[in-house]
Amino acid sequence: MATTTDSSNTSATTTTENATSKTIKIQSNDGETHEIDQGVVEQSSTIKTLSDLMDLGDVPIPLPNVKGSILTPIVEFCNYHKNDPKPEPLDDDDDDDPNKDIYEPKRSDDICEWDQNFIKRFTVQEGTLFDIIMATVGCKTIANMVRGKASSEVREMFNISYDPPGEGLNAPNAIESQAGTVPTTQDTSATGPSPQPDPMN
Amino acid sequence: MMLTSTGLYILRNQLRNLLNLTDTIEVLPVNNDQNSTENLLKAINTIKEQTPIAIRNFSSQYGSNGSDSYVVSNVCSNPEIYPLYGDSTHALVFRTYGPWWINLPSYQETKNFTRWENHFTSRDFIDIEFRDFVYECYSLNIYETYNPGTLEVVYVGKEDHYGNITWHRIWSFPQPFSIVLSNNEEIIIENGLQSRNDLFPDHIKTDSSVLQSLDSNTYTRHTCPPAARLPRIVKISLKDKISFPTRLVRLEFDHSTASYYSEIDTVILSGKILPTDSVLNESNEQREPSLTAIIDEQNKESSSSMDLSKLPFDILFIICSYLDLRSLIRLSSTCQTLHNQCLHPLQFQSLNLQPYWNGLTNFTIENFFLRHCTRTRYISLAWSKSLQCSSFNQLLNVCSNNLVQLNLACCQYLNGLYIKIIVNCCSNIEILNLENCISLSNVDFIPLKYLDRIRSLNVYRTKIDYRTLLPFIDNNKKYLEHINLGSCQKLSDTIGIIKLLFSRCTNLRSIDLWRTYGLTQNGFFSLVGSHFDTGEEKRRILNLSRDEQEELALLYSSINMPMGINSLINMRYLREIDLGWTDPPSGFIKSFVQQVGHSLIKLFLTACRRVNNEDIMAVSEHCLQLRQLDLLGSSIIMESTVECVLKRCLSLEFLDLSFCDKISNETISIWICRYKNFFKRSYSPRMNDDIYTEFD
Repeated sequence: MATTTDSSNTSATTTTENATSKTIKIQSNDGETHEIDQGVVEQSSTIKTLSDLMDLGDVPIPLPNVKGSILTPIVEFCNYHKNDPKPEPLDDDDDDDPNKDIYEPKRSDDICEWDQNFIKRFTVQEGTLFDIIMATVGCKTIANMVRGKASSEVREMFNISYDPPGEGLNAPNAIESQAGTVPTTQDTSATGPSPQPDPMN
Repeated sequence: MMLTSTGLYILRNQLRNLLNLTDTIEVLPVNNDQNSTENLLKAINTIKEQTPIAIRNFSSQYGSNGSDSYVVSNVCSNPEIYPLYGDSTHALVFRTYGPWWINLPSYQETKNFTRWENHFTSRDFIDIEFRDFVYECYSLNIYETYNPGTLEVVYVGKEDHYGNITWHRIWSFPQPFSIVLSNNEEIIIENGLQSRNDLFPDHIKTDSSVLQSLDSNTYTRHTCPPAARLPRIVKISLKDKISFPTRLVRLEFDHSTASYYSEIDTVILSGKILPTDSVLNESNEQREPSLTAIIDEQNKESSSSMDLSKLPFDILFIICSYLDLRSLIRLSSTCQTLHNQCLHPLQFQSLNLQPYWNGLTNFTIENFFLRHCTRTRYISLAWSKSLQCSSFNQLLNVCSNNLVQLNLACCQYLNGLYIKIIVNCCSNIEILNLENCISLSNVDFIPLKYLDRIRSLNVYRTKIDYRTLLPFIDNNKKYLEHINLGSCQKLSDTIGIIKLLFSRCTNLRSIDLWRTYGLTQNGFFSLVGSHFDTGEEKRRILNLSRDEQEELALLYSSINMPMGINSLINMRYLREIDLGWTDPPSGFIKSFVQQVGHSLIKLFLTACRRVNNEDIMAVSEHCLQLRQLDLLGSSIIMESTVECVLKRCLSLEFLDLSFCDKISNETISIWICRYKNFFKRSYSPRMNDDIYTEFD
């Protein structure tokens, strides 16, 4: 038992050592600098591309879109996840690959507990949730917040100002027939900004 | 004890109290004529319990067409099985259960719909008609007599003057419902979501392969079906839920976690009957357009600078890809920017409209989907109701050559024109599902023979015949991987069709011949190159009508039909075969598995009563990858033979030994301890003394 634990620990440290052999500095837009190892770099396509393209040496990679208060938790997040298995690529670019035909539904209820607690530190009101969104877990969280909500609720939640209904804004009627619910129960959320009579009735 | 934690309360005599109360608070239409009021009172105060008179539509059934065993129309009778519990031919039984069918490649490889529709988990449905309109519904009682706990959604239908039906969802799992036991005790279940520990007694392994395999592939609200082996009436209260007279009820089921077939004895609708002359005089409820909410919204000036619509397109795109279609479309209605970004055609690349069968209309297709389906590759219109030919045509024209998959399961509005449209518009189609489209005649299918890239064809329970299938198989021989001919009764030249499949389609991975009609003993032998009577083969063709003979001769020569004894199997990758109820002769399975057994993972020999011990020994020798084996109904297979399979086929996860006379329950108990917990065994309806085991 003890030997197994030891050996797994050793292998873990070895990988970390290998990874730390190359570190990169990144800098937030307010000048905060972080040193990150290769395992973290692998998780950000932006940083990875930049570090692959340039031989940076000791110069930090500037991240003009990221505040220091957000960069710190991002680094923390990446450090936690650096040993995760690589995520599958998004499916919109592998259309022509005949071996990539078995798709799984994109579920968003699979955010692990650590991530859920992590994401709770950010809110829409303070604007910090959108700052952190670059991570998949952010996208899934936003998706979970939108899921099942009426347009008006979404507007309220995300401070979206309602611009005049343009052509085609009656979209909810596309799949939500008035028959979907019992007429006696007022389900205002089932219809969009401007309920539209179903021409088939 | 077990169920206190899950919010269960026991209320006795609930039904009686309910009925007494409602009679006193009856509200009646004002009528000056005293006599007629009294008559009306009498007429409408009669509470009637109705059993179904007809089935309008359904998704699948275990029994064969025209039979009265295990068919959906079995619910059209008074309770026949209740209060017994067990497997009965008089019950409604759907075709599948549990994760077994959907975990196989034949299903997985057609599962291209990436959008996670978390609210839709129905797997089967049935549309039921009752004789009389009910204007005040009390309850819907569903008599579950085998493997209960799979009801997912209840709809009631509202008919207009023209017979158009709109469906209103009135209950869905896990909303409150109650269970009436055979001693009339009623148990109210406030929330159907129970935990595994509540439902599985200690002796049932919760880590059995059913639940394990389920975790990865299926999303279900029925995380655990009741383990209780007891008959029960599921009572859905309809009181104050329906504001119109109705005689149509639709039930949807999710049997993802059922350990065996779910069976329903009957469905009873109880309520007050409206005098027939006033059926359609109901007032049209006016829906108040909820403009107030919108105006409020407009007045609210958002002070925050954060705005979802300010996110870059790629981030928004990822967020949108995690949304179900309904949420996506609602999000798109929030503002103009999000409208343009959310409804990008790439979001509609795979479009599963089956969960929205109820909201999908010609109008929505023509005014919404036509604009967004320019990149659509996979589309499901399964279960949809009456889409007009013109809308269908426009939609497929927009999808055109992009379309790879089209699912039209149970679309009873289809006719020959629709088939022509499919063939004309979508020449690149690879996966086509026309399951249970019984409105299509054999001639309607014929244009399908021009398709030449089909990988998967599902024509379960249709009237398709050899005129379509022979040229179709020849045209698609290089591509065809999955074919479902289950319950097809009008193939005419069944032997010829299967012979062509076996000899030409080298890539075939799965073939479903469950209850396929027309397989003879001699035919079976001719399929595997065994010795067969050529005279009888000729007589089989001579028995067809003169027209059919001529047509068959023409087809045979045009596709160069392999004749004679040398028609050996050329399938190299066959993984699944279902021969349920086709009754192959002794010896067929032996030579079949000698040729293709090495790749088989599923072999269903349901009610194949001539399959003998030698055949199954051959299975144990050649099918080392076998995962699912169904031997239901065999009275000759011995315990020692099955033991050989258990010892050699180490991947086995499903073995149905129901009604196998030579295999005792004691032996199965020993096997359960020695091997894994994957044995299936049903039994005839019986009284269960152990009736409270679930509830104490």
